[in-house]
Amino acid sequence: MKQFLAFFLYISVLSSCNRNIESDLGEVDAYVPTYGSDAMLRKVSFEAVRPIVKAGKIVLYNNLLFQVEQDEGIHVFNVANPANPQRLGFIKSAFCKELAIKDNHLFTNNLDDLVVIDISSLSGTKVVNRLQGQFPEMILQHPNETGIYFECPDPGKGVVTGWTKTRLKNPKCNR
Amino acid sequence: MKNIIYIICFALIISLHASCGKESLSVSNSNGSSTGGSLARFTLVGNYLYTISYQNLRSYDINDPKNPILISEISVGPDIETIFPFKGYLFIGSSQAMYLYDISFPGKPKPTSQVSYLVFTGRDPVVANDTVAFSTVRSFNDQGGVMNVINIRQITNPSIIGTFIMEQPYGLGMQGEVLYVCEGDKGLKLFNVNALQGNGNTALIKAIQTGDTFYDVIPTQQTLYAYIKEGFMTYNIADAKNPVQLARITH
Repeated sequence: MKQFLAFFLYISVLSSCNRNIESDLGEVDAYVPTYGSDAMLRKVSFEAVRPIVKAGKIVLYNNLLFQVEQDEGIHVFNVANPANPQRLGFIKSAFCKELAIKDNHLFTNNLDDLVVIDISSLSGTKVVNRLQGQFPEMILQHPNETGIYFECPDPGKGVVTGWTKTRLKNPKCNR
Repeated sequence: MKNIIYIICFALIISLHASCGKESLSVSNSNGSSTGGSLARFTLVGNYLYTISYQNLRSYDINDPKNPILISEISVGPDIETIFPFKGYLFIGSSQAMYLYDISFPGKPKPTSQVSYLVFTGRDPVVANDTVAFSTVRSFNDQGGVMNVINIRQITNPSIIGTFIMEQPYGLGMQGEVLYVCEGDKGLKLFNVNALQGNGNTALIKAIQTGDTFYDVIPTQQTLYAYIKEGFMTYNIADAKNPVQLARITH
């Protein structure tokens, strides 16, 4: 019975959220970050219509409907005739999750920045203000999965845009 | 004796797993890569924009919208994830608690109290009138949940006066006498607002199933806009109880 108890306790500790890491793991399954150029990702632009892939939140503003494309930007539709919505274009903004609109100004996030976009003329859509680093949690510092190892991100290489599973020798990060 | 030890061990393991699960849930939500629910990280009230990030609530003056001015920053609590305005207050939710901030002085939120997480969740509740609101609570595994009818006469001390079992509740919206509740892949359900406040047995008007997964709705006088997993749909609701599908925009 004591062995049973010890075994269960051992398993329990293993399955808890342990952030400390033993130095000699050998080669294990782990995730490595993929990086994007910070300068490129911080560019917000109005582009041609594109397919809806990961639909997000919708917001109605006058005759316009805005739908978040998760992590990519915002689709813009004319819904003056709700029976026949027209695709107008796409506001590209990396890591986009949210939007709100006031007086022809659209507030959204671009990576971890809060940006203000003038939408009074859609074709002339432009960023009129950017407050840097307002949403630090938007920058991916680890994979979503838990109970895994990963290569610690290196900010010098750019912004982490995703994670790829591979084999690594003694990865330094886990969660 | 043997059984008791088994039970203790089992409970221990489950509790440790559960604590891990909670962490991963909040983290994956903050990365937004989980489901498509409308987790609001910022909200507009009048001429002020309120945002949350980690433990902080920030208030921006946007009287001049192209020039937001940060006017206050307050530490609220750990891992806050959602924010919505409600009757002169900001409701800020974490996976553990719901904090209330009085915004009667705009841009200067003042902490008031903490309400039970089970009463409101991280989704905008719908207000029926001065005393009643509706709010959905979805269970963690996305299966099952309830819609609560809440007495909001005292907003800092809300109480549940009715509970309806739901299948997979998400966002909700009201137009006229009809409450529209998204039920994920179980469709869109219509309820009679008056009946919800009395005897619930006849409250359900109808369920609309299209094979789509419904997450949120914006009902207007004539048209209802529904956020579905693949995009959005429009319905004519000139007759609020009988929505007629107009368009389905996907791909």
